[in-house]
Amino acid sequence: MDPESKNKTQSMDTSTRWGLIATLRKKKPVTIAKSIILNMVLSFSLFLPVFIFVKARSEERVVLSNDKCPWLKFYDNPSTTMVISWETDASTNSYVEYGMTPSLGTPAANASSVGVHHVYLSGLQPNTTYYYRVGNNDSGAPMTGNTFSFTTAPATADVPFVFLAVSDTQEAALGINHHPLVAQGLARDAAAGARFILHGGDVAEDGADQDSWNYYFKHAAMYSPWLPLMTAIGNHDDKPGQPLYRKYFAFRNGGENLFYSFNYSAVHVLVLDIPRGSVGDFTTSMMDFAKADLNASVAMPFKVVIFHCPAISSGFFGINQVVLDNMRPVLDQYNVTLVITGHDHHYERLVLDGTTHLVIGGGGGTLDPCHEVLAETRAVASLPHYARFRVDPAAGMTFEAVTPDGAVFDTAYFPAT
Amino acid sequence: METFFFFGTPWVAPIGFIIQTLIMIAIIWFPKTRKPDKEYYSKYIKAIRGFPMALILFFGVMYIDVFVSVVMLGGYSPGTWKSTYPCAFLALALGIEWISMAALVSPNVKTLLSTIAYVVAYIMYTKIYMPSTRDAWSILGIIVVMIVICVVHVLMVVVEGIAKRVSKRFQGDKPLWNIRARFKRVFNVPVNVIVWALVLTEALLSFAGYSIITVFL
Repeated sequence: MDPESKNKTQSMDTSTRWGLIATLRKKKPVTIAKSIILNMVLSFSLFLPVFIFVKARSEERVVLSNDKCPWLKFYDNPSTTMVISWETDASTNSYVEYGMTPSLGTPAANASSVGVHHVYLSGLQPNTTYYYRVGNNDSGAPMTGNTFSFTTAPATADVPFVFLAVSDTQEAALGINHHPLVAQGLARDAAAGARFILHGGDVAEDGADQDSWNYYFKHAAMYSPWLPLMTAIGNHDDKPGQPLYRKYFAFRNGGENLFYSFNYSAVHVLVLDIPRGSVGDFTTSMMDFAKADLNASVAMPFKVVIFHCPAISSGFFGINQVVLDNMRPVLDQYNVTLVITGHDHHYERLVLDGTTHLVIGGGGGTLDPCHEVLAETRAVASLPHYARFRVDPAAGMTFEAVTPDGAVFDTAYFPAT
Repeated sequence: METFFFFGTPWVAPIGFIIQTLIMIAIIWFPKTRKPDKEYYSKYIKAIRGFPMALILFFGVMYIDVFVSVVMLGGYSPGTWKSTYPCAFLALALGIEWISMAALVSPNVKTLLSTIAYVVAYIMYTKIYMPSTRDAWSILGIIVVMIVICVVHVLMVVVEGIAKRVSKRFQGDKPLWNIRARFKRVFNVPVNVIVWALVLTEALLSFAGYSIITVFL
């Protein structure tokens, strides 16, 4: 082999072994720098849509004022009482005009100057639609705000009605939140005549953060002025002392328990304070209350228990043995129709010992995967959703899992017990 | 039915976007790491590519499982197809590309053995063992299985190196077949850009509760 051919062969070998480095060395420094800058620009541009999305969602999340549309809650007998709540940026007195026609006519007031207003109405007529308007009469001028309405519960247990349930409406980091979408579905059902909403907890992402609550109420305004919102506390709401949760949801005595119950037509609802499913959640006072309450309601055709942390689920939190050990005997003993929970951010319907357990954690927070691994599972999905219950005391209760655009993707039927 | 799928559909698009973006970055920074029918230009790239390829294989198998569980075995309730099928079919496309890229384009004996071992371990773990545990968190064990297979793969690389030193006629590291040219015709740069854009769109829409189909239909 002549020396020239040998050099050429060596050069090719080197090029093959060190091709990338050799190529870089051959190039001029300016060319290399240009390539690196171009590559960096191209690489960063891949993330640009995400930055724009996060920026847009973050700005959409900001609520500059604490002013909030009204929201409602039963505070005693749903047939005759209602508490109307709202928040104003500046402290004022609280003034409500209400009546059975849009012309209103009946005043209710609270003279103390506050930011979060709760006006308690009592002596209402059962199964009656009331119209109302909120504001203050500090200036003596007539109120000019929007007029909303609600309907009180029937006094008897034989009136058909519809109620809704949602859970985990919390936002997530980076503006990830689909509650605005779910709220549209709830609003549609509110307009169609649904009577109240059960909330399975985790109303806000950070129970101690005012912005989290502002963001929730900003979108809840689509349904909260018309549908009483009966909440169970979730682990995200449950900050020490629950200052904002108690502030917004009208617990009259401040230190009042977070478990309670009410009857609405043929349905008995028991709301429990189980935010984490830990041993500490199952206080003697709550369990005694639950047993006594269910025992007293044994004649009710439909008994619904709602709390945050599921006993059984094929989602992230899986089977919670503490909840299972504490709740299973109670649910069995008192023949509970239905258990509604959240916590796991997916949808699931399970049947355990003849009792249906719903996980409806798709109300707004980041959706999680679910695993169809349990023999008790009857249906499972990871998508935004809420629950609708059509109660006909004579026929039974029909449950529907609903997507925000109104599609029903799972149903179940519960005969009266 | 007791099927199991780790991901479901909610994480397909966000994690798919991350991996597809890393692939795009690799395309940008290393556009010519090798010719379709040749060895790698740089032995360093050849050495380190095993780790991202293992990761891609890991997710690729899961993504195919998502498609099979959701679309073929009907793991989801009817009526949710608008929300779940876009992710499921993206999972199929990504799974095929990633598994092909990692293990099927030009595998040698050790790559093929590791891949078969992982697929068998995945099926046995998630379809037989996990339903018996009733514990969704035991899915994390599949990561340990993957790590063990990677360690075995590295040991095979060492054995291969020793074999090459002992016998110059050793051919165990040669590809069993090479369909890289055909693979590049299908999953070329424009296709990767389109897939990346679809995954990105689906991920951003899913953060707000939509999917590619629900937003248009």
